[in-house]
Amino acid sequence: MQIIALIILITLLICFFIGANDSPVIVQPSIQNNDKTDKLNSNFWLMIIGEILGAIFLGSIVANTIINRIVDLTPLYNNIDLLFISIISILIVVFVFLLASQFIPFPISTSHTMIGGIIGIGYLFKFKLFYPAILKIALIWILTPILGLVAGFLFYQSIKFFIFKKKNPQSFPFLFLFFLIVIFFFCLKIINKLDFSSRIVITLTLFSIIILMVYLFIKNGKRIKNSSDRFKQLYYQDSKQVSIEGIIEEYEGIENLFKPMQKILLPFISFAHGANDTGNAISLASLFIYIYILNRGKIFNLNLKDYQIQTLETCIAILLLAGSIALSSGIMLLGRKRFSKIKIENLKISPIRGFCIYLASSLVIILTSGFGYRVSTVYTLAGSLLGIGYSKGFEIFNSKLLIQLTISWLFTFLLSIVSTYFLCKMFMMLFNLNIN
Amino acid sequence: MRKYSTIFQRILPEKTIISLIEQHASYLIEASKYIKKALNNYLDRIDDDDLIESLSSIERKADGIKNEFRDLLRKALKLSFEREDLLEFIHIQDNVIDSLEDFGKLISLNLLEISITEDIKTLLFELVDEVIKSIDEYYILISNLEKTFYLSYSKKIIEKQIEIINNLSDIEHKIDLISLKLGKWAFSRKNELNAIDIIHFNNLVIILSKIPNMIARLADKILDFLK
Repeated sequence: MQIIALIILITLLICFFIGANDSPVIVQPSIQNNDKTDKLNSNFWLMIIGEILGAIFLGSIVANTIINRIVDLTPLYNNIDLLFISIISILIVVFVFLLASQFIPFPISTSHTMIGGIIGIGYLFKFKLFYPAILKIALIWILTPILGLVAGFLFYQSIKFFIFKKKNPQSFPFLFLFFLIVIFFFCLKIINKLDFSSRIVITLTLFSIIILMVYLFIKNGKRIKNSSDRFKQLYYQDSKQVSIEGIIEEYEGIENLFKPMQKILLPFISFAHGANDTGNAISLASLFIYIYILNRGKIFNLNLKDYQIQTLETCIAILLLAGSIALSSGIMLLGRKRFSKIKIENLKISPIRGFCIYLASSLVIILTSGFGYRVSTVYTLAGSLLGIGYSKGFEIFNSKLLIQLTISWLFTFLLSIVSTYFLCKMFMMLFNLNIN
Repeated sequence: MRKYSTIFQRILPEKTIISLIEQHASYLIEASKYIKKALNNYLDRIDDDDLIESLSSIERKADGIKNEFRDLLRKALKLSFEREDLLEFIHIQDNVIDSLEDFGKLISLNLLEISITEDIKTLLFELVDEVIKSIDEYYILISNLEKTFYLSYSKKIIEKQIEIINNLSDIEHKIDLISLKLGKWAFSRKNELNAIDIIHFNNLVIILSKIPNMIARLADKILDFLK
């Protein structure tokens, strides 16, 4: 029983620190200079809603991938002590890496560490490694920030085309919505091959994004129309009579229309983050509890059948809820505090740019998570930000960061394989355990 | 309090190109405030070392920003503008500040021995006013540049910026005419004034008249950036 408690404790701590580390990054594009203090709390709460829902509805797909698609761990199912040593080694490595990420200039992805750890165990016990699946996962790791970059670039370019390059931006909401609906149907086409439940979750998520956008465009329609009428007046009267400040004010009015839409997208990006990170963090603990229950048959001398803790799915579901609560606590207790230390006034992410970052990242992450691939929300957000940079949304940006990040992933991944391998070997020697 | 930075802070540098250009241009405005006083000193034959010191101090501060700008460009960062264009741009803008400092220094080198007629004084003040006006207009152009970029080169904002650029071109033309008149006046007095005074007076006019030319070049560069 103590070993279950230890595994759950480390898992929940991992979830807590994931929330603390990632939340300042996720919430950052939704906060502008002037609304740092008043909107901060509501944005963090919106994030928590998304995290919990994401973990519950989509987290199990990611957790199943981690458990079943990387290394064949079934030979360990009959040796609960060795399974415990293996899982605890992986979790310790993940936890140490997570803590270390506070002191190094790059974020460390828990998924890379977790998957690296599982592979390390696979090498140690010479288990069957599912190389095609591992390669696919690695490819997705590299591909998601690039997809985020492309999507961010396209969204920002389209907004520039529909709004800023038009003399009368009145038509932009309809054109842009049409554009979003086309993307929505394109996404539906992509997810056609998925199982029914995943399809339902992804379709509902994407559909709610569109519905909320339509609602906001309709709600703000009058403001857009007034703004557009003023644009028309500005355009047809003698241009010398109009001050540049007046024109800037009109465009800023349109920029501000995107603020509520950013806020709507924040829970969706958190939804994707919750699904990925909680699913990833709790996967091994769920597996262990399930195998433990199968082996021992009971906890607290109770008849398990009464509590219906019979399947791996049930273990995953319970731990997903617990993990998402731990992650939310990390957001509120540590993430919020860290965010207050960020010098946000230097980060000029306008509402439109923030909207594009969120829209691009949430589409990429929700779709890839739907396919069961574990992706990094932070890196995808970074990719989308770079996409906006490439479409001349920022005067100057560090384009080489993506390459530096890829190198750091590779390094983290390899280091976690080696660390887990040796840590587990050390534990085996210490406790005199053997695979045979 | 220990500052916390996220991956976004590592992608977007704290200082931006336009903010540094604007900061550098603000020294241009500061320096331009001294040229009228310098002209008054010249006409009243006052030797004012403090003025030169003030102009030198502004020039040094502007140099600091210029170096910061170059350092930022030297980093392997992706830019929305051509690196060479930006370097040339800051070089010209810095030359304008240098010219204002040179004007202050040149004025202090030689005190006039003869009095200047009222109509020439008026022309000289008109020249200085137009130079200050061109600097002010240029600063408006620069201070709107960040918004122009922030609002993704919106068509209507660019139209307004082009209006300012055209104004600068008009001012440049006006200054050319004034400086021509002043030059002609100086050389037409070759038998009355001493040669040093004529050359000195002419050099002062040339320094001032070159400023709007440089500003017009900067405005053209901005036009290229906006395209």
